[in-house]
Parts: sequence; structure tokens; C-alpha cells
Amino acid sequence: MKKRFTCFIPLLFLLNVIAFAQTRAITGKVTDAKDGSELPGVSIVVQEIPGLGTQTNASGSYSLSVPANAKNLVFRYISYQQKTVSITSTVINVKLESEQKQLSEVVVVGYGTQIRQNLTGSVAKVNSREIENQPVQSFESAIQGKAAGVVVSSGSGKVGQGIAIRVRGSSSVTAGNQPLYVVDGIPITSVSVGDAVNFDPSNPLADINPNDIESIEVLKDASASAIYGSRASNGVILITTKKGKSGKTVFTLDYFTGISKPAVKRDFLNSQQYVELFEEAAVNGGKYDFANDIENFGPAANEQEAIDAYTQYLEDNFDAFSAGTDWRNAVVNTNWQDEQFRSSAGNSQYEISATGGNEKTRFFTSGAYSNQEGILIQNAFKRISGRLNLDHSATDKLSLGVNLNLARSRNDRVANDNSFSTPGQLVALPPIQPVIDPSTNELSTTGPYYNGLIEARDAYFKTIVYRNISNAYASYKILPALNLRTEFGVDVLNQSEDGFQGRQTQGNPTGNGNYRTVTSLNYTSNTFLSYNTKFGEKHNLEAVGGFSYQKQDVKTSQVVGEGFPSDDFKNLASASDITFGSSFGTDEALVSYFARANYRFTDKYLVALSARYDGSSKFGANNRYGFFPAISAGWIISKEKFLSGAEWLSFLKLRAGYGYTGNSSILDFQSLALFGSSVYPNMPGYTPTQVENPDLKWEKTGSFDAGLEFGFFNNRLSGDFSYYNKQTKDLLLNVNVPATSGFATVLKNVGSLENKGLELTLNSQNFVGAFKWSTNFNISFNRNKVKDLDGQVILGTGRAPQRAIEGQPIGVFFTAKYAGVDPQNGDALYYLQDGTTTNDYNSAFRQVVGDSNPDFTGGFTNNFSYKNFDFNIFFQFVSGNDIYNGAGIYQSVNADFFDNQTSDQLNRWQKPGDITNVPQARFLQSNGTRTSSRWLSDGSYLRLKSASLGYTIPGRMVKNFFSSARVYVSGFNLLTFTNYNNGDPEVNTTTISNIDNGVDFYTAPQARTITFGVNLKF
Amino acid sequence: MKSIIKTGFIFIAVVISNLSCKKQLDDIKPQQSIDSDVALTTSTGVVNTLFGAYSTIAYGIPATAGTLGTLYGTNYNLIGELFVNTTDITWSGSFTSYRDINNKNATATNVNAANDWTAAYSAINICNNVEASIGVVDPSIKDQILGEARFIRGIVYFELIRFYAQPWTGGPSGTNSQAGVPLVLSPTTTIGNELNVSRNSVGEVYAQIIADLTSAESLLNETMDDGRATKYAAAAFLSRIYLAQEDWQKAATAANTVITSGHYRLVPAISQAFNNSSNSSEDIFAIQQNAQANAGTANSGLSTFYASMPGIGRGDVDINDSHLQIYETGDARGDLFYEGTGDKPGILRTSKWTDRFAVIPIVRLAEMHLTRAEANFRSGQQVGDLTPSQDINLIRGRSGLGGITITSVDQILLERRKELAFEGDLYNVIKRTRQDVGGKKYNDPKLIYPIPQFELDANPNLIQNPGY
Repeated sequence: MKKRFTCFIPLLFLLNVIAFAQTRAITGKVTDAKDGSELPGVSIVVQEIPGLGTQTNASGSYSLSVPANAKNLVFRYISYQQKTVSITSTVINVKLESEQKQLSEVVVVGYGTQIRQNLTGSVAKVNSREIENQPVQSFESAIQGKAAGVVVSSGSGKVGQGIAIRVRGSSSVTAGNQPLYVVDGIPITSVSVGDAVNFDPSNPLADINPNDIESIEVLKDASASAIYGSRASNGVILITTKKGKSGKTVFTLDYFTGISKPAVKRDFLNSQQYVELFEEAAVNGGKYDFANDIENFGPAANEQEAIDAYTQYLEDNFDAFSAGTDWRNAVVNTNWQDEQFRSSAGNSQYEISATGGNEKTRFFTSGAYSNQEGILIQNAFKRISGRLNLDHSATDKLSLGVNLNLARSRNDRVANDNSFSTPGQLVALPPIQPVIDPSTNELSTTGPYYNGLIEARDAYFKTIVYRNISNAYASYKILPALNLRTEFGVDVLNQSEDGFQGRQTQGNPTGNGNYRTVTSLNYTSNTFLSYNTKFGEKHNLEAVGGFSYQKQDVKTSQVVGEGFPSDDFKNLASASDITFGSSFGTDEALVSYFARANYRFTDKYLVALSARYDGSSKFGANNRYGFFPAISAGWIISKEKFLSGAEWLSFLKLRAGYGYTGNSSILDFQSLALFGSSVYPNMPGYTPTQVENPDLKWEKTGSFDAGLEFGFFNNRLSGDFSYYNKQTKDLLLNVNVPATSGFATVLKNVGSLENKGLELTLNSQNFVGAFKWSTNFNISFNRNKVKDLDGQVILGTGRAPQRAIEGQPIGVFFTAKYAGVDPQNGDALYYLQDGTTTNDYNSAFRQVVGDSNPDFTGGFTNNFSYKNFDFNIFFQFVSGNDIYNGAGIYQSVNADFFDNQTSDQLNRWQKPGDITNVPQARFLQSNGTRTSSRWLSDGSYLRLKSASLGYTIPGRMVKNFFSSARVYVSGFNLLTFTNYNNGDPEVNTTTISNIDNGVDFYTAPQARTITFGVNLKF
Repeated sequence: MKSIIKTGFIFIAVVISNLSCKKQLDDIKPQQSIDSDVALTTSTGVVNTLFGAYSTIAYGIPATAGTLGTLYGTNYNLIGELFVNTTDITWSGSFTSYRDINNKNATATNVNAANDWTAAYSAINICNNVEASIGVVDPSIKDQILGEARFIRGIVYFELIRFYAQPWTGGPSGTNSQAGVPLVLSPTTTIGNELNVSRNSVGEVYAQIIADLTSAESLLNETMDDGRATKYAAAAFLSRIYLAQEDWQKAATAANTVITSGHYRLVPAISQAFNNSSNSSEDIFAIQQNAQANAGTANSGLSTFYASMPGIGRGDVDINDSHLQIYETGDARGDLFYEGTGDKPGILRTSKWTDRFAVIPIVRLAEMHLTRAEANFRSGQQVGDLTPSQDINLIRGRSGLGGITITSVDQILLERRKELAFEGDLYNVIKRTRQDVGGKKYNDPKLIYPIPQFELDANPNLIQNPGY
């Protein structure tokens, strides 16, 4: 314990240094330089004390107390040029010139900030306005389509589940591909710690209230991210929470409420169609059985006998499914798809926040409650959160502060898609099965599968998280140019998963209780010096260097019990049999040293160097440390004399960089030869779990980035065009070994892959003035290629035939290529290697038939405002990716088994000459049921992701009550343009995976949501 | 000046604290696994490793348990029935990997073929580890532990050769050069090309099985706690192997060794042989289960597939009503059925597998009597003190039937079918007696597993079975 403690000593030292200073009051008014209109909400900060500032009120006025040593005020306003004014009097009136905001904005980078135009790396920024007040559980959903090169995929319409993010492609086959998340300088726990066997990954990021976020920066290339070294290959997402602003205390009340429905539904057979198709299938099944001596129901003397046997079997089952109702006349016609959804899912969010303070102390505080029902029955997410961000300037040299965040979230979850009990699988039940069995007046249990409505009624699975992501910092100005900052952050995640299944649920004759807890303590200390100086007129140097220590301890425990006296007893104290009990712990530590230097010459030529040296407990002693350097340079061409005459050109910068980053997202202790424990009655034992690999080391990505940043016509049109080339080598790869060794895989550093891409971001102010119209557009092209896997094939483990193979993008679909139906006999056909077809699946040629990686992705936003109205419309698109319907083998398979079928199966082959893609319905004969490209389709889509219409109530109407009031109505997932006709194209059943992407398996579609909200300031 | 001193302090603190952080990297050790050096260097460690083999052959590999069933806890019974039992059962489950086996149209990527292969060789690797580390085992239990390791290795190779290779042919002296499975007899400690093994012949694999089981028989104790291998468990498995080789003399001798050991007796009523919480008096070798450790209750385990009771089982194996016709009136074995009341209710189910946490008999004494009767009848000799008719009538009598005189081997096989129905024995009978299955010959390529596709991908030296 003592050792641990000493890691954080620097913090204590800084807290001891305190002094005082004098103040004076500054007032003034901020107006538009062009039309003289008053500008409300302009941010004013003291340049020397960045935390000290205020905002103009509705009439553009401000007042601010500043200490004696304050020399300059910085005025910032969206769409206006930043202005710095020296404090020469107590009244300072300022006129701001409108401008494209992008270039002068402050961008958060690792261990510091930079002005955008001086950046030499690739950083995407998303501001609070684009994240706030949306019916999402976590901020990642809100940045989908907003930043070039950042692909956000929420696996389904379930609420509170993990979300996959890829920054410039997938850099690994076996190790994680999710970015590193850093909140206010402290890396946080972002990977699900929940029950991964029965449920989708939970989302630790959902504990952060999106409305608390000031900005999100995505560090995309090595020159921006190498300072995070061994964890930066997948990009780094920096989240900065809202800081207090001094001045009058401003209260903000946000409220919205809305309803959700599934964005897309599918067509399934009704009872009459179901019976017709299956009766036909049984006859064909009998004929086929007889002709091929299958004797599924024993030997038959003639064809009719075989047909009768099949029909009898089918009808016996139909009698059972229909619970004695007259299925021949379709008396019961259940739409099981509708049963899986709530008739209407409600959501609401309440938040009150306040910000204010004086020159010495600023605060931001918020309290929020969010309640969101999922579209699936039972599925819901609630979060209550509070935040206090406090900054204090103790002396002109010492400042310190805390960011405290507490949250409790509760997620009522449904089992993953692979479970009979999950609502999504209800569609497998036949329409002839009644919801309520008339003979018992209970939910029917007569179908071929478990009735998931019983689960919804008699079972629950609550995930409750208590989360504390907090940090404290102290910053001391040793010399005018030299600053020492130390910060200590904790991320405490306490998650309990409380499940109960009543005695009528499947497999639990005496009830089943399940309680699992996870306590994760993740703490970090950062200590670094920053040096910022100008020498001579032309040279400018910013440097930062320091070290960091991070440790994470995770402990989980789980108890499962059966034998409850009745369903009224739900806690494990009432279980007579404890069937499983376990506790598990793991920990990891990372020791790091980092440094960065940015040099500017005449504000035109930029050079940056950064490096990190990381030591991780995850690797064997042979290769515990890794070094990750990066270099980059920029040239602001528009500042050159030879372009000074080009009026149309406002800004032009060329930047390029190269660097190395790492990836260590693997389980702990993979380098050791380990034996795990095994269970057997009275014989607890060991089993070997992995073979030794003492040479295991980091996966390393060398990435090149080049970009052109531009602004035309007084920056009315601006943008960024980037090219990147990421080469990952020494892949941390689960290498298949012959299972005859007793092991299936071993983790080795083998192979390489690459991601190359282009990104274009355009921002345009189409109209300025009273009617404002601005457009933001981004598009990204990424090409992923697995280059070397030492000749082997890495199979996915999901519901689709996916794999990583050399020469192909990761996660291609590799299987037999479906060739449609033989018009003569209705047999399903597959392609042979020579391009001819066969009905013998085993001889079909297995090949790459599709790719789950999109060719390009992006987003398109238009903002309009006129007088008090504002309107925002945002489209998001994905193109060129394929989606595999993993449930196709059950639901779109020409009545091979009892599952209800999608309506398209009515197009089955019926007689010679029929041209169709659906084979002859042949009950139980596996005609076309084999995994093949039959269920693969193009998943491209363009989605109207959100649209919002707002009205700001004129100040005179509300001024007695509020300083401003806005009401709005918003819609999400309103329209989808796609050729995909198997449901929602925005799904992935495995949620977060490297290889298994683009797969639908009874997956819940996204929600279409309408909300109504108000935003009040007072 | 003051601030310079402060700054100096801060730097010293930074340096000291950093050095202490660095040491912490080395202090981090796994909390629930142990290093192989620890596991295999003590007597207790080696014994625990052996126990890991029992767990593996019962429930599969711990990390993948719960996905689909494997080995003795599920598949050595279920897969055998699905391959050959076209008359007595109908598969009504949704798992396509099982349905394909049932329909004789499995593919090389069949999940069961993959899981059973992987789990079997995982168990073999454990046994090889135990054998290689036997030197550290306490001398008082050394023979028993080595015997158990060889026993498990022997029986797992026998199961592998049954399901992944064509059956033994040519009687006791047959050479059997057809492709068997790779024989791996030493533990895996490093990963390299030496792991790319080739398939040994069926003859070679049988020789290894007999060597292992014969050695085990001589090393093992006569009795052990429930679940652990004994001298007679080895003998009982040897009788199965000799039957498969049509070595009647040896089969009868091995069975007779078990019968005459005096450690086993038939339970009074056949129903008492199943769903017990500990071994019955006629269990020679049985898989142990309880609420904490079992073959599975959702997607694996025998009761999961066979049973249909409220909350128990998926009811995936329907027993055809016609099956009841093979039982004579009054046969207690004909009463070991019930109409399902859980999933897919109203369909006939076997009562042998209804308790999720019960012992699963692998070899029962009844089988030894049936084996001795058949072997003696076929060889025309009499090993033991009962005639074939007397052996058979012992079994019939227990189930309330009168005596018969055995005049043909079919009578014995019918009795065997009734006695061992749905216990996975039929597969062996069909193969060794070369009966047709539906329209297919006993050695049809589709009546055995494929070599798993991923194994062929990982090991270029392996050759696929014909038909896949």
C-alpha cells in the first residue's frame, strides 16, 4: 500500500502551495462588426487564467472580475473570429468579425490543448451542441456520422448496450479494435465488465451524461495519438466535460420527452400462408424421402406412405402448436413480431445545471435523470447522474480543481440474440400458435420453441451500475513559461447484475436466481511539465513531458441458485441449491513516460515530435516495454507572401506525419503457460488453458497521415482532405494450432494488416445574415486488408461464415456461393470452382462472397435558422457493406422446419420451369438450408438520422422568468433509404467484434423516436 | 529561492514515486490460474491435473462448456443414436449440427464433429501431462494415478476411432490399415511444426488403446470413489474393444473379469439404474454430476436433449411410438417411457435421462452379461459360470420377463437393444454387426464424423474422410 501511495505524492506537494491576489471589474458589450447587432452568449476568458471567464447576456453585455495580473481578454463566439484584447480600461467594448470557427478553435490533445490551425496531426472535434438532448444512452451514438474516419455502429435497438467504434479501420484481428477513452485527462474503463455469455456487452460509457460533455476530440493519426503510445492504435477519444465560467450564475433546465417505435419491421407469413406452405413442404418432403431412401419416419412401402408419414408428423405438430384451435381455418393468426415490441416506448430526460463563480473559483454542476424505454419489451435504461466541476485559482501560480461525477444507471436487459428467451426470437413461433392458450388461459407453451413472453413476464435481468469518474488536479507555474501539472483520477465501476427466472421459464423448474457483481477500480496519476515560450520574433516552442501510472483491479463474483419455494422469492437467500458460485480477479498496470514538442517558425512552419515509453504487466518479461515515437510537420501555405494576393483563399495548410502506436487490448497473462481450474463432483482439478509464449509483445501500427486543410472565401467554405496509411505488424493473433495438441489456439505476434483511407470534411456557410444556412459534410473511405497471417485462416465465431484471410479485408464472408434454384427440380444450387452449378453442397466451391466493411461512410448536416426558428437535419450513410442474415437458415429457408418464414419464401419453386431464388419447399430435407451467400445482401443505407425544429421564444415574452427559452421537436431515424429488405440494415448481433460484423440474428432494429423538449436558461 | 526549493522537492518526489511504480509491474500475477511449473511439480498438482481430465471427458473444455455438449456428458451417447438409430427416434430439435448428423448429411464444418475432436484431444493432452509428470506423484498413489491417465487416454482414443474412422474389419487378426486418428502420446509444451501430426491407421490406434487399457487394468485399484477409474472399468472397456474386433474369447474374458469381481450387482429394478445421485451398484464407470458440476442444462447434457418435463429438457429426441413394440408385455424396460410435459409436450420420451444433475452410467454390469453371452455364444465356448441363455435370462428376469433359450445371436442383440436403448450402445452394435442404416451400409461415409474443417486448415498433414 505504501508503494502505491507514493505514486501520487506530487499531487500533495502542489496542494500545499497557496497565495492571494487583487482583483478589478471589467464590463462591456460585444457586437457584430458588420451589423452592430448584440451578441449573446459570447465566451470571454482571461488569457492568463484560461479557467476564468464569463459569457455575454441576452443584450450582449458582460461583466467580469479579473485579478491584477490579468493582461488580456479572449472573446470567442461560434462562427466569429476569436479576438484578444488587452485590458487597458475597465470598460471594454468589442466588435467581432464573423468567421469560420474551425481554424481558431481550441482543440484538446493529449496532456494539453492546441489551436486548430497549428495542429500537425489529425484530430476530429465534436462539440456539445451535437451531443446534447438526444434520446441516446451514451455519447457515441450522438457522434455517429459526425466525424470523418470515425465509424460508430450500435449493434441493435436495445438500450444501454455496447457500441462499436472504429477509428480509421480495424487494426487488429484478435486484440481489441475499440479506441481508448480519456475523460478530462484520465483513461477510463470502457470495455464491458458484464455477463458476456448470456447478454450483449454492457456499455460503461453510458454512465456518462452526454449533456455534461463540452467537447469530444478524436485523435486519429499517430502524430496526434502516439502520446498515448501502447493503447493508441485504434485512436483515442478525449472527452472534456463542461467547465465553470465565472460571472452571474446561469441555470439551465433541459427537459425532453418522446416515444419510440421500431424503425423497420419485416414481413412474416400469416397463418393461412404458413399452413399452405408447410402442407406443400410436407408432401415434397415425403416424396424426396422416399426417392432417396432417407426413411426419416421408418421405411415406407410406397411414395404415398412416405407423404402420409410426413403430413401426419406435420399435422400432429400443428395440432399441438395451435393449442387445439382450428389451424386449418386460421382461427388464430398471431403476429409474433408485434409481440416482441412495446406498443409504445417512452423516454424522458430532466436536467438542471448551473455554472458560475468568480475570478478565483468557477463551478459547473449538473443533475440529470434519464429514463428510456427500449422498443423491445422489458428493455429499459435509466440513469441518474450528478456532476461538480470546480476550478480554483489559489494564486497567480497555483490553480487546482476537481471534476466529480457520480452516476447510477439501471439497465433492464433482455438476453442476447442467441437465446430462445430473447424477444427477438419470438418471430420464430408459428402464427397458428395463440399467444394465450385457450385451454389454460396462460401464455401458450405449445410451440416448437420456448415462448419468450413467459420470460418477459416471469424473469428479469437488471444491471445496476454505480459509477464514479472523478479526478483532481493541481497546476503550478514554476516559471512564466514552465508549468507543472499533476492529476489523479479514479474510475470506480461497481456493477451488479441481478437476474431471476420464474419456474415457468425454460429450464428452471424451481426458479433460477443469478447475482453477479463486478468491482473495477481504475486509477491513474499523471504528472507533467509543460513549457511554452517564444524566443525571438519567429520561434515558438511548446513542450510537454511527464509520466503516468495506471492500475486497474477487477474483481467479479457470481452466485447462481435454484430451488426457490415460489416465484415470490427472488433473492438467492431463498434458493435451496446453489448451483454455481465463483469469484474472479485480475489486475493490470501500466507505467509510462511521455513527451511532446511543437515548434513553430514564423507561424508558418510547424514541426511536432512526440513519444511514449510504456511498460505493461500484460506482456512477458522479455518484451514488457515498448517505445512509440511520432513526427509530423505542417506548412501554412496561405501565410506565404506569394499567396497574399489571393483574396479568395483564407487558409491553406499542408500537414504530414508518421509514427508508431501500439495495441495491448488483450486479456491479462497471455504470455504464461497456465492451468485453470475445472469442476467435477468431489474432484476439483486443473486443466491446461494456454501454452507459454514468453516473447509476446505489443502489436505495433506504423501510420502515415497527410492532409490538406483549407478555407475559401473568407472561410465561408472550409475543409480538410486527408490520406492515411496504417500498417499494423506483429499482430497479436490467436493462431490456430492443430487441436490434437490439446489447444485450439495460441496467442502469438504473427502477421500484418493495413488500413488505407481518404477522408473529406467540408463546412460551408451557404447563407449568413438573417437567414442562416450552413452545411457540414464528411465522407470517409477505408480499405482494410489482411496482409499476412502466416498462411492461416482465422474463423469468426458468430452466426455468419466470416473469417480473416490473407489478401482480403477482415471479416469477409467466406462460404459457398448460392446459385439460385434449378428450374427443373427446385433444388438449391451452388457454384463450383469452374462457375458451373451443383446441387451437392459439399462439392460447392467455398469462396469470398461478401464483405462486411463499408466502402465509404459519412454524414451530411444542414443547419438553418431564421429569426427565432432553427432547423437541423442530419443524414448518415454507409455504403458497400454486406449483411448476412444469420437467422435465414431458420426463417428464410422454404419451410424446412417449423419456424415461421419470411414472406419472400412464398416465391418458392413449385413446378418445372419456375424461375425463382427460393428452392422447392421440402420439409426436413435441407434443400438450400446450408450456409451460403443465399442470405447475404447489400447493406448500404442513407438514413435521416435526426431532424430538429426549434423555436426560441423572444426575450421580451419570457424575460421576467428566463434569460432564454427554446422549445423544439426532434425526430431520430425518421427515414431510411436502402435496398436492404431484411429489416434494419443498422444491426450487428455480436455488437462489438473484430471479425463478426454485419450479421443480423433476430436482432432488434433501431428505434424511431420523436421527442419534444424545452431548454430554459435563467 | 523558495519556489526553487519547492520545485526541487517536487522533482525528487516524482523520481521516487516513479521508481516505486515500476516495480509494481512485476508484482502482478494471475489470480485464478497457475503456472504449469506449479501445476506439474507436486503430487497434488498432478492429481488435480488428472481430475481435470475427468471433467473434460464429462463436460468438455471448461472455457467452451455451455455452448454445445461434448463427449460422455452428451455426444458419445446422443451422436451415436443420431447416426444409426433411424427406427426408434426422430430428431425434432433446431440445432442444425445435430439434425445434419441425424439426416446423414453433415458437412466438414459440423460443430459437433469439431467440439468432440477438440475436447477429446484436450483430455488426451492432460493424460499425457500426467503420464510425463508421474515421477513426482506420491509413491502410494502413483500406480493408480498413472492407471487413470492411461485409462482415460485409452477410452477417449476408442471413442475417437469409433466416430472419426471406419470400423475395425477382418476379425481379431485384421490389419486395418484404413485411416484412424492421430496418436498423440506426449504433452504439448511448445507450439511448432511438430504438432502437424498425421492420422495413424485404425490398427495402430486399436493397438494403443489395448496397450493403455491393459496397462491401466494392471495398475488400477479394484475400487475407488464414484467416478474414478478402476481395474474393472478398464476391463469393461476392453470387452467393448474386443467385441469390436470380434475377438470373442477376449471379450468374454474381460466381461467375465468384471462380473466375477464381486464388486457389482444388478439393481433390483431397471428404473433404479438411472437418475441416481451416486453410482448404482451396477455402475462400473459413470459420469458424475451435481448441481454445481454437470454437462449442462441449456444447450448440452443428455437430459437437455432427451427430456421434456416442466423446465427440464428441450425435448429434441422424440421416441417413435413404434419403438414400444419391441418390448414384450410385462417388460419393465418398456415402462421406461413417459409422455413429455415440458417443451414439445405430448410426445414419447425416454425416462433414462430426466435428471439434469444425476450420474450418467457409461458401463453397467448388465452390459457385461450381454457381452459375455454374445461372445460365448459366438465362440461356442463358455467363459464364466453361466451359459449365454443364463446370462440373458438374468437380465430378462430383472425386468419381470421369463426365461428363453438362446438359439441365435439376433436374440441376444435384441435383448441388448432393449436393455441398452438410448444409452449410445446401438452405434457399436450396428458397426460391428454390419447392419444397414436406413438405405445406407454400415460403413457409409456419412455414418462417421468428418475430420473437422478447422483442423484440416490448421494441419496440412491430415486427410479428410471420404464423403466430406
